[in-house]
Parts: sequence; C-alpha cells; structure tokens
Amino acid sequence: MIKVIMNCLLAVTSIILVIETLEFSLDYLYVLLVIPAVSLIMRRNPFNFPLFAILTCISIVNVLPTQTFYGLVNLLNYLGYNSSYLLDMFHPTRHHIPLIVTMFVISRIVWNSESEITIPLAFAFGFLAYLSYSYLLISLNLDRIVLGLLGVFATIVAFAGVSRWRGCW
Amino acid sequence: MLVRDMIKVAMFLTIVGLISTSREVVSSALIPLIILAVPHFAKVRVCKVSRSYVEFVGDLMDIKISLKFVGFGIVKIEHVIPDSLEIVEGSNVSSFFILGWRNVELRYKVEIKKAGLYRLKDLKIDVRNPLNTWRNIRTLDLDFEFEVKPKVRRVIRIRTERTKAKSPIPDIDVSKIGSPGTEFREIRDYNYEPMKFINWKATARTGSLKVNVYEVEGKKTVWFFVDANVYMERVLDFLITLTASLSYYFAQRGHKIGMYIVGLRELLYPDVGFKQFGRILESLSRIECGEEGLNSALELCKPYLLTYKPYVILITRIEYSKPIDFRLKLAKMGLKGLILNIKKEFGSEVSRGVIEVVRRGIRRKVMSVDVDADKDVSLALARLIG
Repeated sequence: MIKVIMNCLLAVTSIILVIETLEFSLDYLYVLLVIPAVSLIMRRNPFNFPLFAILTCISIVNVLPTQTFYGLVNLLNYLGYNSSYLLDMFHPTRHHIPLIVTMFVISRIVWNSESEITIPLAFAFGFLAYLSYSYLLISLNLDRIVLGLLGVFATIVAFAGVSRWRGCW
Repeated sequence: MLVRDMIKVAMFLTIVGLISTSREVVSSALIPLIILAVPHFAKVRVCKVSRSYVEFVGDLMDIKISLKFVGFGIVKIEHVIPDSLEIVEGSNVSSFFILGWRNVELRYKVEIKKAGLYRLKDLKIDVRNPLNTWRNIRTLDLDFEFEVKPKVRRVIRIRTERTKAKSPIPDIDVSKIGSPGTEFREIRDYNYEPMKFINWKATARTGSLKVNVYEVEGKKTVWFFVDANVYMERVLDFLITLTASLSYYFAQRGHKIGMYIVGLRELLYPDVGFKQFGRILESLSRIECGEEGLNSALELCKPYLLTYKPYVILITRIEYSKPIDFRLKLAKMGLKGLILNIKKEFGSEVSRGVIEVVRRGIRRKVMSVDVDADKDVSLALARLIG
C-alpha cells in the first residue's frame, strides 16, 4: 500500500512541477493527472514510463533554445515564414528535468522494493544521486563533442538492448 | 528488472537529448547510472554449527547456525534441507538488512521422516543491493553430516491369543549347508563326501559305498528381496522399518541373512550376527527408488539362492510388481518363500476398488500376506511372527 501512495505522490508532484515551470501557461495539461489515476484503478504503477516520457518531452520545451532550435528558426525565416515569435516563446530558462528523472528513479525503486527498508533508502540514494549528478557535471565539465560521442555510443547500446529485451518499451 | 528500467531511462534521456541537442537532457542520464553504481557486499563467517544428537527416524533435532556478517545490503540466508526433514519449530530461512556488521543465528527444529545419510552442508546466501538493483547468490559449505537409522520394532509376542500361523517362518528350519553336527539324519549313496562319513557296515551289506548324513549346524538362511521400485515410494518408510525389524528378529535368532534391494541393485551376501544387521540397516538407510524387474533380480541372485537354499521373503506391493513369475521360479528352484504385500489405500473410492480387485486376483495366485502400511509396524510383526 505504501508503495502505491508513494508513487502516486511522486507522479502528482512531477506533473505539477512540470506544468508550473513551463514558460507559458497550459492549464489543460493538468489532464495528465488522469494517467496516475487510471493506472491506480488498473492496479499498475501510477508513475509509469509513458508518463515519465511525456513529462520529459514537455520539459524539453524549457531547454529547447539550442543550436538545432536556432537553426530551425533560421530555416523557417529563410523559407519565408516569420518565426521570430518562437524565439520569444522559448528562451533559456530554469528546467527541472534532473528532478523529474530523480523522482521517476525513486518511484521505480519503491515499486520494485521487496523490503520496507528500501523505501527510505530509495529517497536517500535518490537525493545523493541528484547531488552527485550536479557535482559530476561541474567537475567533469565534458566537452560537447565528448557528450555527443557518448550519446552515439549509448544509442547503439540502446538499440542493441531493445533488440534483446523485446517488448520492454 | 530495476537494472533494465534504469538503463531504459538512461537510454531514453540520451536519445531525446541527442535529438534535441540538449546537454541538460543527456547529462540527466547520469542519475539512473549513479543509482546503478550504488555498491553492495557482504562477508560472512560461520561461527558455530551445532545440532542435537539423533539416531532414529522420528527423532527431533535442534539445529543452530551462528553467523557473522560484515557489509552492506539486504541478506537472505537459507539452510537447504531435504523434504524428508519437517520443520516443527523456527525457520531455516532468515532475511535482514546489514550496515556494518551483524551477528545472525539461524535456529530451528526438525523431525526426521526418513532414514539415511544426511548432508546438510548448503547454506544459501543471497545478498541484494538495498535498492534491489544487483544481487549475488552463493552457497557456503557447512560441516554438517549425520546418519539416521530406520526404526526397528521388536516383536511383541501375544501368548494369550495363539492362532494358526498363516505363514511358515523358518524359526525351526535348519540349514541345508554348513558344518555337519552330531545328530544323525540318514544313510545315502557316496557322493565325494569326506572319508570319515563312510558307513562301512552299510557299504559291506549293500555292496556300494554309503555315507552317514548328519544334521547341519546352524539355522536356515533368510533372504530378503526388498522391492524399492518407484511404486514403493509412498510406503518406503514402512518398507524400511518392516525390513529392519524382520532382519533384527532373524539376526537375534542366529539366522544367516542375505538381502537384495530391487531397484537399487544392491546385494548383501548372507552372513550371521548383529554386524550383518548393521550392514542391512546401512543399506536400508541409503534406499532410494529405482527401476528393476523382480525376475531380473531373482536371476541375479540365483547362484546365491542355489548355494544357500534360503527362505525367501519378498516385500513388495503385489498390485504393481505382480510377482506370479517370481513365485513360480522360486518353486522351480525348490525354495520356500513368503511374499509380504504392503497395503496402502490411495486415491478415490473407485480407483481403490479397482486396485483391490487386482490385488485379490494376484494374492490368490502368489499366496501373499498383507501388511497394512497405515498401521504400526509392530502390529504387522505380531501378526507375522508374534
């Protein structure tokens, strides 16, 4: 029971966090709260992977102003569409992707826990992971090209994983 | 499962980050990977393994295992025991969390249901990461071995209720081989006997060599055929106790006892005394069900049967073994014998009825004696030899 309550709370917190930190107000996104409710009725994990994927994709809006984004805006301008309003809409701002990831990771640990001791430990290690992530990011200060190469490697591994764990997505 | 989830999240973030060329999203993939890097370990030392002394089936045994753990993680320990040990108190499994060090004691009481040599040396240790990501399973070897003998029932003689014996147990039969005694039996034709036995007077009177034959010293050999085929599985305990009790009875009375375990293909040469009884007990303790026909067992033992001319006791379940050929072959060899049928009721009323019909048909042909496995062995013994 405690697992379900914890995961519900984490799911609701993540949804509210994502919606409240969006640059523009999209109140109808509160419809997302239906997902944990439906999952709960179907006796499944309220904070499931599809919900996490949706929340991550929505949060990306806040970090969109990247080279690709500017390139896209320029392309639209070149094609004759006035897309400068897009630059007003999306500009670099605070984002909470690491926090959502941490909450999702905690929810997965809580959901898979077999012992009650795992729940407080999940929060403790989740918090530690969140802190060490920032520390690692600052201390490593990896170049974009290194990150890119790591990403390509991870993509290859991901495809290999998908072919092996068929149906896990 | 959780490892897969974490890798899935990391991969998802990496791919989404690459598509959106967002450094923030790609670097978020580190979080699940950090969770996977949380270590776990456990070192264990066995401090003491103790048990109470047991000798026979049905005895209770206290088992105590003291362990000391050092490490970090959730530990589950299990002392692996066979089905023939029934836990009556405590548990052979324990689960706990360790952070630093911890002394653990596994204590439980078992009832021994089957005779045999027990090696309970496997202690399974399952160390899990507290976040349930990784786990290590290993088995520790404990110095834990003991032997349990089958229960031997003594025959209780019921003097007040003497009835006509249903089976000819060879208590008074004499052996056909062995050293000749002093009691005269008959005069026979000479057949390469020692010269001292030649009866010169009878030889002179008849004109052909005659010898005196004396009664042989010692009692008749008893040969057990213990059927340990798969169909005996359910009555194995009863079979062991019955055989042990009967062999004790005959050993006590100075009979030579031989044994062949059908199914296990184990032969015990006939011998006399309690040492032989000990050997029988040891063989019975190791009994496990196998597959072998009664006729092939008889063929294998034929040389010994023809040499010792024993009284043969077959213990089986006639509805499965159908020992009609066995009985005929015994008669052909000129051997007397007794077939003990272990009776145990299983299944529905219809199946029991069918089995009973089959049993009756075979019983009439092989002249077997029924012993009820649901009753105490002492009762069966009292009925057979009491």
